[in-house]
Amino acid sequence: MKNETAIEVQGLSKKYSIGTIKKYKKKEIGILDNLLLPFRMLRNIGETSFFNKNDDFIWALKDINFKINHGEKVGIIGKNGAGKSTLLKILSRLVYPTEGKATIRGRVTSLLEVGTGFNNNFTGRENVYLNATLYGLERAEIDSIFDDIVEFSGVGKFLDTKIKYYSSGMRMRLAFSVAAHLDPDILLLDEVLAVGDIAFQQKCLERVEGLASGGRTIVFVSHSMSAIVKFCDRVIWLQDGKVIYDGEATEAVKLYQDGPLSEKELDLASRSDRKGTGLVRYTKVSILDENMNLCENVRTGQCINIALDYRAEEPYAEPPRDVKACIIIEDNKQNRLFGLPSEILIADLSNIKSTGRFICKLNSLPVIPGVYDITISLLIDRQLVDKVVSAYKLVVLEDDYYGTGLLPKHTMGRVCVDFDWLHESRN
Amino acid sequence: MSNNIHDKEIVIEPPSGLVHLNLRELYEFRHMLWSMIWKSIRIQFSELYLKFFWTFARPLAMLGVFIFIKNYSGANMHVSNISYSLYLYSGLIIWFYFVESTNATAKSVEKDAALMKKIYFPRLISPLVPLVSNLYSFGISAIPLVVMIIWQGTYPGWKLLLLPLVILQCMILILGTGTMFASFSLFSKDAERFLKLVLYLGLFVSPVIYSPDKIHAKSQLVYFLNPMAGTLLAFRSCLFNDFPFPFWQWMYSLAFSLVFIIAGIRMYRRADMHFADKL
Ligand SMILES: Nc1ncnc2c1ncn2[C@@H]1O[C@H](COP(=O)(O)OP(=O)(O)OP(=O)(O)O)[C@@H](O)[C@H]1O
Ligand SMILES: [Mg+2]
Repeated sequence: MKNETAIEVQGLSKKYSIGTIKKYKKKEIGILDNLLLPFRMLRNIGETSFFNKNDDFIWALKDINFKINHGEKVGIIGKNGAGKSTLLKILSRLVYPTEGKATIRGRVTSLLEVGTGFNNNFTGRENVYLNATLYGLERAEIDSIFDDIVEFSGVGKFLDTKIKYYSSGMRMRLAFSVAAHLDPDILLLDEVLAVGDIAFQQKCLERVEGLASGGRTIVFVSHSMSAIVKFCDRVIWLQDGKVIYDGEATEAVKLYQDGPLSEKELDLASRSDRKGTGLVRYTKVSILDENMNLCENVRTGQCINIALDYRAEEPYAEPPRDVKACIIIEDNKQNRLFGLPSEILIADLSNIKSTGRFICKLNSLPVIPGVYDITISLLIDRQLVDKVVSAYKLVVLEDDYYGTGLLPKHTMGRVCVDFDWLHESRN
Repeated sequence: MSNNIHDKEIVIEPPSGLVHLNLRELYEFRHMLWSMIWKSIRIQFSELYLKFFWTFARPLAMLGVFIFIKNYSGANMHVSNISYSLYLYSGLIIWFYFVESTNATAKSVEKDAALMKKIYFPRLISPLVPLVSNLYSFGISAIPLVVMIIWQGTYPGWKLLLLPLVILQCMILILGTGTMFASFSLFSKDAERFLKLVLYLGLFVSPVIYSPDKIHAKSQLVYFLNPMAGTLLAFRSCLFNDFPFPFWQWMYSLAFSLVFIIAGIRMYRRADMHFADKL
């Protein structure tokens, strides 16, 4: 029986060595220095060991976990250097992971860069055959799709011309055509749709759409949010080598495009999916740092103030005494992590005027990197006045919470608490 | 489509200390291997109009030069049983096959780096490609040899059946040395220079131009430490009936080759684990 999961990734991490950088001083570039270089190199022999422990490392991926089922179309987004290409390279077995494990079920084709293995001195025809064998096809199989490939590429006229006389766009068209006519179960694409002229790009998109609707699993790295929204049902958002969001595509893209968090204060007043009597409404949620400035990047362990602006529909004649506000933090799978009810602190929020702001201070935000939902509610005189589920999406970035460079893995839950370990040994 | 290269579960994990050779996988990628071999052969010949000529040119030119030197200086190469021209030409072609293939296998990783960064295939394919594709030039350069054999009437006997074994041994030695140096050269380009120097000097310390009989009997033991010495003599023995088979020397070459291929492939796999990131 076929296993449901096409790709399963467990605790995958990748450490890259980025070398010891300060080998030559800047001034060592004169003529004399070039002449002396062979002798200077001798000096370095002792310092260079093969597995240099002093190399600087970066974690291109850290503890990545996800499962992709057969037939799912998953987009991977994130800033430059977030680790997207690294992830696809590991899944394509081009580099080894440092930790963790990935399991792939089904035939994989990865298009990390089109035009791979094209040889300038061969004709287009020869290169099509050559390229297709590199992707694992046999001669007879290539024969059967050859005409489709040529037709799709639109360079049929130049088929018996050497590739070196092609324009770069023509090369890419031919290369993409080969790739697009492979028939994998799982297709890994890294920014490959941006080839050729607009007409050809359109054709490529349609082709990928066709492949996608044919029930194939597609993992698709792109900076083009429109393409992501078009093809993908699900988005995995990487940031600094970690998954900070894994879920519904349009929502992820919206969050991603909203950019800096300061611009993301939602105008809650216009939301209608809320509960409560409505005598007082929350109008805005904003995340402030300890100095009450809007916070651009929220990080694990940071001191933040969650400010809730409100407006009363009608000014209270007599300010209510019993006012309780509550904030609930959930992860993006709607698991409640913790609540911040004002009542247990016996905080005095009474004396509500027509507008105002409640501020809840967290000395240290205790969640690991990810995207979190903030749900807010307000009770006045034991009556629910307002409640907005998912009033704010909090994107939390990584920070060194424990001063050790390490954070708990998400399998241990998403919350960071202060703790210490001691050991008392007894003989 | 019946392509089933990836039709199974693939588990991707950090490289383990266990170094094993996945021959099954290599077999599954045989189409790719063949296609790369054909490509490599085509590249060698695609820009040359006098394709075949250049393949013989070097050994034939060297044959001419050495025969000229020998005749005019009266130097004694101590070749017995067969004519000097046969001895020299047969030695040259297999020697050049050895040198070129070893250099090419040692450089194969560098050459295929761009491909390795984009397509998965068993890493061992890279050094196998020049090893096999150079056999083609080797075969072509053997044509004048066949003509000379017929011309001079020095026919091979039953030992011709051993020829594939000797060539296989030579290929094993090439692959072993090549993978070893391919691994070294990932650390430092110095290895490549070193290999070039050794192979260059090798021509003069191997029985290519002269016969080992020229060497003092006491020094012969040292002389035959060179694994190609046994191979060269065995190769000729397979071709020329009157040429004795250097049994012990060849056994040594074979053992040496087997040790080298095991060591070479182990090192190659290890190097791959550490350097896949740095290609
Ligand atoms: N071979 C390598 N050696 C050292 N560091 C590397 C190597 N390849 C990638 N990195 C580092 O790993 C990190 C992730 O790189 P990656 O290519 O995966 O980013 P990306 O998400 O694909 O970015 P982009 O959007 O620019 O394509 C980067 O910081 C990069 O410098
Ligand atoms: Mg990238």
